[in-house]
Amino acid sequence: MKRLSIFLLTFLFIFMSFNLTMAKGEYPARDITAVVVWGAGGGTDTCNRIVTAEMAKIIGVNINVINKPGGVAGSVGMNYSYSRKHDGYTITGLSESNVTAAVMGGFNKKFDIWYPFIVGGSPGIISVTPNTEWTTLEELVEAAQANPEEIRAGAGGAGSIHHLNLLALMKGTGIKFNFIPYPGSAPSQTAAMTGEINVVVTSLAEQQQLLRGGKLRALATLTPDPVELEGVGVIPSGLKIYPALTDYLPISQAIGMAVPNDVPVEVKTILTNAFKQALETEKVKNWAAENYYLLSGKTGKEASAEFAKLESLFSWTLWELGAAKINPEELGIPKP
Amino acid sequence: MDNEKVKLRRSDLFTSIVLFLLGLWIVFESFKMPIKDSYAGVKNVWYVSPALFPLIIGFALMILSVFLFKVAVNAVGISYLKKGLTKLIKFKMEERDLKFIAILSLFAFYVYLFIPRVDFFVSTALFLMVFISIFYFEDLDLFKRLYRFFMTGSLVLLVFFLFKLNRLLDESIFIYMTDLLVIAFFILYCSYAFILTIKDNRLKLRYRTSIIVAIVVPLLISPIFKYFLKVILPTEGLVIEVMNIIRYSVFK
Amino acid sequence: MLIWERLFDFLGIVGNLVVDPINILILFGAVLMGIIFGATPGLTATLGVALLTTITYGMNSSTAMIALLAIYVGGVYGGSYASILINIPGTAAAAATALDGYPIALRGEGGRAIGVTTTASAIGTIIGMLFVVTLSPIISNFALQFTSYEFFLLAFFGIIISGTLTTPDIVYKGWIAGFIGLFLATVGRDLLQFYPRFTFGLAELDSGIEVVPVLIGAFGIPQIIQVLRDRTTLPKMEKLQRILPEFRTIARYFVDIVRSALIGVGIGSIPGIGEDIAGWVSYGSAKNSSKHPESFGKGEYKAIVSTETANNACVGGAMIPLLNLGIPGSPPAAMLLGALMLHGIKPGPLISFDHPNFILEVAAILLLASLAMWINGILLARQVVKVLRIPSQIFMPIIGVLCIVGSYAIGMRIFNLYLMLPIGIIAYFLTEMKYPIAPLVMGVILGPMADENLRRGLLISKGSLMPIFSRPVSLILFIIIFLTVMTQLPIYKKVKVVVKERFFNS
Repeated sequence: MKRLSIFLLTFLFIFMSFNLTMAKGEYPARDITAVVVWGAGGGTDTCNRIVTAEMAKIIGVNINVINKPGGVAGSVGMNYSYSRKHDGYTITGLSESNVTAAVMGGFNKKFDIWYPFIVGGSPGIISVTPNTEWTTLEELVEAAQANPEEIRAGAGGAGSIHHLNLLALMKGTGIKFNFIPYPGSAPSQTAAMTGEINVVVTSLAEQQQLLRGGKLRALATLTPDPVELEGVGVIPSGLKIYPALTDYLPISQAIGMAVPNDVPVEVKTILTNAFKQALETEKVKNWAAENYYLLSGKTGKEASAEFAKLESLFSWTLWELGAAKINPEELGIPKP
Repeated sequence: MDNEKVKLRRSDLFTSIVLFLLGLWIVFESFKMPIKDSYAGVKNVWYVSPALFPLIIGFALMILSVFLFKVAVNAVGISYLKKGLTKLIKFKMEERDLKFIAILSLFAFYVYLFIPRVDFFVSTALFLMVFISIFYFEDLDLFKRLYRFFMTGSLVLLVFFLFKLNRLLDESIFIYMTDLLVIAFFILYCSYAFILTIKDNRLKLRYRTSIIVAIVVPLLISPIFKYFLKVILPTEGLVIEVMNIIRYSVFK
Repeated sequence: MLIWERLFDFLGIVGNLVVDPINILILFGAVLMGIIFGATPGLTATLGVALLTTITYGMNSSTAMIALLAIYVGGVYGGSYASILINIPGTAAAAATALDGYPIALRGEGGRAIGVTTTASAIGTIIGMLFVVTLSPIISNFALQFTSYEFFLLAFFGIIISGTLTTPDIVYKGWIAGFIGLFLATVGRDLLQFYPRFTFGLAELDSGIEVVPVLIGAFGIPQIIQVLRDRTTLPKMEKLQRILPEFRTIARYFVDIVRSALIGVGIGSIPGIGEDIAGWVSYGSAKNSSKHPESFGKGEYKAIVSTETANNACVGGAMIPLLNLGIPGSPPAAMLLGALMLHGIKPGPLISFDHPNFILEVAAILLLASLAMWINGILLARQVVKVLRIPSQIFMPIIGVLCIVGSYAIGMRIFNLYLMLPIGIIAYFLTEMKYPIAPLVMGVILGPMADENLRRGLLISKGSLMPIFSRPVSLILFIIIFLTVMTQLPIYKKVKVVVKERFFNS
């Protein structure tokens, strides 16, 4: 018994003395944790693992990546990491789709509480099953005009970026598809391969292997610029074909990370510098080129502005579709 | 039919009714869901309704519980329903029921009270110490005494947490005051067990083993999960913070 | 001959991998880690692969692949330890093994059981690997036969079969347990329309009930209570127990091994479902083909050989669509996909052009991993069995702590613990009344898949169920389900008697 209490007392003593010396330490004094709010192996996860690994080399401590998916639009992970100390030792790995967490009722704050870093994104591509007769976007649009709500089109779940892309395409060209939701990009692509659906929208990064392997046929990009894909050729820009689309598109993917806005300024500066340097490394650049990601590198105000735009677009679209739980007006989100 | 089977069929009689009610409730709740309402831009027809699947489950449960009821009635007869109820009211606590309740309450306090509020190391050590000691001594009298001691202390702590006194202490005196308090409870419990076991050599040995296991296991688990598996522990208080300091001063 | 050339390449790759001592070290280390992950309730192969993805980031891609595949193989195998010795499956994949493994251990043959499963797992992995090398294009086309209705039927089949097989009492009880599991799976936002079901307004329930807390709560808590309450002892070991590869036993079950391996590869190659279903289907087919099916559930070696071969063969099966189509066949394979992308390898139809030798390399690693697993297993099993020497009053509380940390660790949500305990208590009462627990867990695993795919199938066919009967795979699945259910109903027995009297006794 005595031994136990002596043991505990020494413990306490060591602790107190160390605590005083630790408090003065500079950031970062210990390992940083990156909480990715999407599942392991996905786009946001991969991006965060690559970039944080490079950032870790620059700032000199480990950055441990953990996944904390769940809730609506990643709300479990966001709530969790926001509830931890705002000291820069917890980074949140997130993407554009998280902006809907607030209107979906999972996160009670607007997105401007974050100080985001945008790694980048990959352009959205509309593709069809190879054994269909459509070879260009025009043919598809004509077919859809002739048979409204007959052609089956799929994308990740309601409110995901590719669902919004699809909606924008339908609005801009005045056509209607029969929308079939899937739990993510990968299952929707598989369904397009099996012919269960005929039209699918996902990002180039997710599709490129299937396009090059002839398992899917790309019709157009949903960004202002055409893309050249090795072995497939140039994929034209849908916005050039239907200029009316520019009212609704592009909706750019924004994968990245964030810390709460009230983290100390010097911590934000250190992280921002490390982030910018990491995006300049060969490793990240090569990885982006190979996977058809366009690097952005926006941080702070610039990045916040981009997220604010996405937030208003996503929130209001969902509200109009009746899929949102909370009126974006209540949250003070402006109309797009 | 052997005795075991009869007992089983008797309980089936009751559970089939409970299951039927569960099925009924599921069906009832499902009808509150939008059956044809448009939602999230997906086509709005009955077969896409979120209620479809729960309805199937609810009905299936109802049908299966009727089948089960029939089997049970065939075996023990419907008249048992009334007899069983009176038996249930005159329920008498046996030794195994006491043990069941003890295990349950230990888990409940650990999961709902200690883990979310108290340092992971401290709460685990307390849980293990109590859990091991009450069973390992293999003595019903000691079991009851120790269990009572733990329950009293935990209930006091429960009240303490309910009134948020822990936050008050943490903020005013020392940020890890709650952890210290639970450590004090742990030491108190150990001392009590020590007094109870001192006279018996066999028990003395077992007491020592319990205390070693209760401290060594969390001492191994915490760093393995925290530093190797990168799991952020539920509550990181006094002891985990000490581990942090040691970890970062040794491996820098 | 092309095939000889390929074989030659393959041996070359194996040689290249083996000469580097670091590779061997990592191989054994990762397998060992996988076994520990698998054996600890709550730590799964998925978590192990996720963890190693970060650690192996800096290594070159083949070393990283060795580490990742080795931990995957080890993790699937390791689950059998906890199943056999303490009746708490370390992973969902090993749930079917517990059914006969634990009774064997209760007879005092725990060590022998582990010896048998070790060899069976290794053979299963190797057979899976052979398919990766030889038939992967054909099998990946088979995977594309699965559309929404097939997935629905397959999920339903998984629940029905585990309900039918595991029930120690009346068959209805197995199905009821399955439906309770399905009900738990409907909690949360539905996947098609995001409508919150049975969430009682709790935001924490929006994402639904996770599998791991259910698995641990439903198997772990009842076992802890039963052992301590009734002072039933855990399995005892024989005094002089040697753990051998048990080649003779294995040889006796040669047919079962081949059949189970085929089942494992087939199921592994279907996207989205994995080792857990493979174990059950293989258990069922072993029981059906047995001359004395009544001994199943009472400690039948045939059963554990079948389940363990199948779940390890599944690893190879899951690699096939992953490598050829970029579709992960199981949850750990999904993590593996992410890890491959980090190393600049993009699995998909073009993999044989982009990285000509990669598939062979994966096969080579699988071969090495299964050998390492086998050696580790034979050496380790003896030590592992020793944990049973710890008095159960000390051992079970420690298991309790591990169960709790395990169900917390996967999502780091305290809420999972809040769920785990009540589920465990319900499961305890169900076990007391002789309801099987495995179908409940299967229901939670497969529920979302069944729900979502049924409704999506209906959405696509505009409310018609006809595609079930017009598509070959779904028709076969439907017939199997129909027969499984019908043969269990009392009507079937009556009809059988009538038919017999009419045609044979007249």
